[in-house]
Amino acid sequence: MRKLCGVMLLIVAAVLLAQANIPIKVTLTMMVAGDQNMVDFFQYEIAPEFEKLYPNVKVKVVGTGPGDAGSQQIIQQLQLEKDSGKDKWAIDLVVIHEAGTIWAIERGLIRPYTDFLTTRRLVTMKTAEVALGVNVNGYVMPMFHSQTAIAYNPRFVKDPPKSYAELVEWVKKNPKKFGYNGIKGGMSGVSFVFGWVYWKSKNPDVLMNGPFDEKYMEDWPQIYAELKEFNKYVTLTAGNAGTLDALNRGEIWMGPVWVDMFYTWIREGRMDPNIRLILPEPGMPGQPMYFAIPTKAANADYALKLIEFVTSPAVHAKYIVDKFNWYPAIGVEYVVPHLGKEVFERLYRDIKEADLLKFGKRMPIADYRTRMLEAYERWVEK
Amino acid sequence: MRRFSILKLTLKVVLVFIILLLVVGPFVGIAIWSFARVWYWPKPIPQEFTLRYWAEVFKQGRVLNSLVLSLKIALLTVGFSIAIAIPAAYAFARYRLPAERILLFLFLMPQAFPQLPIFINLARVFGRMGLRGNMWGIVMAHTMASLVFSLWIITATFKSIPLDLEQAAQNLGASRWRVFWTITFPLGIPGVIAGAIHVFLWSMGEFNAAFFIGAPFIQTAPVLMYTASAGYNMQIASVIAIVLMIPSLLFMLVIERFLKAEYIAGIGG
Amino acid sequence: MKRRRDLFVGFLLILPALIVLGALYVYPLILSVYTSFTVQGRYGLTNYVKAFDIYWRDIIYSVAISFATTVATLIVSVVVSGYLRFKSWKFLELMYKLPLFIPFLIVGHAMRVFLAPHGTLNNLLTRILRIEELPGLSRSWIGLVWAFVWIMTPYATLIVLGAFRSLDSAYIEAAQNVGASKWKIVIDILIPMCRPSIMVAFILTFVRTISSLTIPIMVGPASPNMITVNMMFRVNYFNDWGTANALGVVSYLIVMVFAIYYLRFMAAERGGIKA
Repeated sequence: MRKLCGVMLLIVAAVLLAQANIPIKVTLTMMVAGDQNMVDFFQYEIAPEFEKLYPNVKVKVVGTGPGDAGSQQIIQQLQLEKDSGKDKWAIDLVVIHEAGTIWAIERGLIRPYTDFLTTRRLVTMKTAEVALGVNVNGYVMPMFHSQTAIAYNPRFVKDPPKSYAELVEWVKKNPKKFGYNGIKGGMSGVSFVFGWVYWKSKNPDVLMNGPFDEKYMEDWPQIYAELKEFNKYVTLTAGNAGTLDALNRGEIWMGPVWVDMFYTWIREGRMDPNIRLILPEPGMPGQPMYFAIPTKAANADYALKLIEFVTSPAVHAKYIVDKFNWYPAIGVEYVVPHLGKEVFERLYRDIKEADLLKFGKRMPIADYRTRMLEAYERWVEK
Repeated sequence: MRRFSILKLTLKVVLVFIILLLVVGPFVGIAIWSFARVWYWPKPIPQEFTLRYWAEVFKQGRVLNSLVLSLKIALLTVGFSIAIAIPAAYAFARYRLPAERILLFLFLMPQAFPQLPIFINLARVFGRMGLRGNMWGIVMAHTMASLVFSLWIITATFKSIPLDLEQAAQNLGASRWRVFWTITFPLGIPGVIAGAIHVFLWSMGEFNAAFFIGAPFIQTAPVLMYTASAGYNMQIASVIAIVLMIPSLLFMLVIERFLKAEYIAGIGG
Repeated sequence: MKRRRDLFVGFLLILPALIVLGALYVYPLILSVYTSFTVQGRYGLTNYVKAFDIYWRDIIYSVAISFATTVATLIVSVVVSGYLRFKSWKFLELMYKLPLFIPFLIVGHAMRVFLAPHGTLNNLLTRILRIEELPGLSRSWIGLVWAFVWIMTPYATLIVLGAFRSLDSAYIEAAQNVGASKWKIVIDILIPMCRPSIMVAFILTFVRTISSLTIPIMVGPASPNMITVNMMFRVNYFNDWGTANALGVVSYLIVMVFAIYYLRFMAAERGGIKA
């Protein structure tokens, strides 16, 4: 009898303990590379919704800034965690560029996880498997796809150039009225440069898909010399946001921008709503942003739940597509049922789906990419 | 004669206008931005105004958090800086220490020598100790760099207190400790306050240390202002800029008549 | 014996301050010099070779900008001080001090808005002058110097005006009696007699300009950059502490030339601090 009592007590205690276990407070720390709109997206839209679903979780968002520099900061932090030899890293989730993903995999800073993700099979984009020519399958889940395009102010530009070739003519007639940020301060300028190389190169497909061979770089000196000449007629802005601001302030009439940032700025009132977009021939690259989970993330389970949440069709439609104007990471057919017609009309107003298919390029594979950036520093900036 | 004075008056008006434009003009730009909702070229003023961005100063969120963090750091820094400076200043004023001038100059070094490499390396050291992204790391860096303000000003104040007052008390049998607390310190309070205000203002507006030690994990108001401005979030940046500017301007107006070149000239910010 | 005890107590009193300075300033200072000579655990000059190779233009540019700023600041402050020495004008007295305590970062942001091609200044000027378009000054070296002069002038003027005012009026009256104009007095009497203070203003302005990070980031052109900006890029973009520290040491050396002069001057002139 006493024994039974003891067992009963133990069971009750265990049940109580298990109950007590549930509301353990968790802080989900995520680092996000990208402009302020990305940080706002998580901090003000996703975090509150997610915390409603999981009341014991507090989402902490740390923004590291746009471009490769932002990804670099994440890598540095993960490397610090790794070097410290800790069992549980303080960073649970990262949102990172393609280049950053490759660095992170090389250094063993992130781990494969997408087998556990139900929304992974909704993805139709190639970029979920290959980033810059490197196999990243399993390590990443795309958060969205984004595209660069040329924005122009119809007040001053009645008949916008429809190709890089026409643009070169245009800047000569309108010196300093085209602006981009070079290769520092964000990827919109980088994309413009890549688009330029694609246009001039004899083998743009090799640059995008490989294989890597220096013989495909023989025509580069000439290509960059022409870009340097082109730069004499343009204004250099201060980053992704700098180009947008200069457009809004009428300081430049044309410039490459991220489509999503452009529409978000219009919504916030920071961009002249009359400004339009065009995707010039032969096209400019776009890129996805990736969700990745650090190798020893302390709260990997909740990180997975957050990724699942953001990529589930209803949430994806409402936030990623409608509110933040990104192109969906999962197949369009999955988000369509959750979206109004006007959202699509807005998103595809200037750049039609057909244009996107034809002129929406990929980033060059990693080996060419690094060399293209170095070439710009060496031949154009100096 | 009359025409001449009219000419002179016009000249003076034009001069006043130019000075105002040059000195106050930069404030006008950010003041307008802080109320703008929609503002695009070519309109000279915003198409739509809003108080939304000012509201962020008062409601829970990024802006308020950063301001509260900056305030906390500044107050802690003032506390530490003054607590360390008072005994040292007393020693400099009353004990004839060897190499006094060189020692005093040493404390100026963090302000008169390039700070950036120091903070970069300090951030690295703190990174290894787990003090990066930590408020206390910033407080420590700020205390070190702002020591010169409190130390120099309080030293000068203590030195200006006549010795005979203290000696008289000592002759009556008071201990040195007692003399300090009943005579020297009360007389030195204006200097302590001036030092504290200097440290406070400097810490509130400090960017380099706060950025390298704190960012991206914690953002003080200047760091948030920088991020906002770099992302051309003009309204947020301008609102924080104005909030941070107010204490500086107030202090300037209040102490205008007491401003002595010696106090600040050596300091630099 | 008492003297020894006094010294000991005095030393104890300044000890906390010295510890703070040693641990948080001297140690990182030494670390920065040490790091600048090491590349992956090996000693050498590689970082310096790289720093000069990539940034030699920027080093010269930084010195040139600082020099231009200093000269312009001194001219403005001598003019303002000269005026205020002879005439009292409350408005100007207030105006020159207004920017005194404004943090550099805020100056950078405000100037970026003010000097942009379609910023506040050009918005106003194009309307007054009825011109279509004026060039923007922000993100150019002119805008950079402008912003620096704006924030440096109050300090410089405070020093120069203080010196002008403390000068015995007898000299000035004597000159006025022989019919010298006011500007002649400023140039022939006030400036030469206040040379030490002007030198102090010169050095302080120069050092503060060349060490500033925030103003060049906000207002400076995309290239060339001030070396402080390059240091930040090296650390944030490339995680390259060696080159960043080599640039740091270069900036120490530039400032050192002036600091030594300042130290000797202060020691000779008034002992650094005045009660």
